[in-house]
Amino acid sequence: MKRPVLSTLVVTLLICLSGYAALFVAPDERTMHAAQRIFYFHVPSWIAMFVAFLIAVIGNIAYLTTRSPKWDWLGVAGAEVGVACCTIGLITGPLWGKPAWGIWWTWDPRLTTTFILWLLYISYLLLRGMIEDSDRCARMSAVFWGFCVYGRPIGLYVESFMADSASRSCLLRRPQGRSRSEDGESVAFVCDCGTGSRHRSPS
Amino acid sequence: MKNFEYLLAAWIAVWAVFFFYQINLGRRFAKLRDEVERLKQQIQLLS
Repeated sequence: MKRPVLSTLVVTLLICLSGYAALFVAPDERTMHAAQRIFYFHVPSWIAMFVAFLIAVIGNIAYLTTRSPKWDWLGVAGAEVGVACCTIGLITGPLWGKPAWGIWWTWDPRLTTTFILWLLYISYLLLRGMIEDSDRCARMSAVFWGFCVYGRPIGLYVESFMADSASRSCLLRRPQGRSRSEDGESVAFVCDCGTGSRHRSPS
Repeated sequence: MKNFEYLLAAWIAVWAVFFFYQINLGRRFAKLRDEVERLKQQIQLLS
């Protein structure tokens, strides 16, 4: 069997298995009920986005240093997959936020910077379509991609100073007497929200 | 199951994005294949 066909079958099987486990095997969460299961594809989409953008950064930096087109292809492939995952995260977030927070969207720093960066990622893909000269297109988009991606850590840094972040107020709220260093545990809680739901279930 | 409508909407949205991206990739791939064929024909005509 050809390798791409085999890998496609393996990925499809894994998607089906994880989908079945997320919907039917995992226990129901006590407060959010079915809406909590959105986390099973909301959080992985952000993780996949970061991995894809990391690949894109590697591709773009390698292109700027070597000028080999294969690195540009790697960069744009990573960027496209990352934008798709970012779109999924931005759509599923409000769908989880409504039952959990009572609102679809709030213009808090975390969500706003994510939305602005999503617009930048889209503009990166549009930019590539507008420049006909392939070398110039690759060079300009590699530089622009750097600008887009470096915005994310800056956004996260700004968010750390904003106490009224909607996600922080709900999920990452720091209880009284709790130190800032313990917030790392809260982040781990968010990531563990899916798999760790059995600890909060009535069963 | 409480809040099932949100889960269903998210599930549909995820697959919609995947399908849209897959269709988009397929169209671009077909366009690229046509272009390669056209270039091959041009090379044959020139040689």
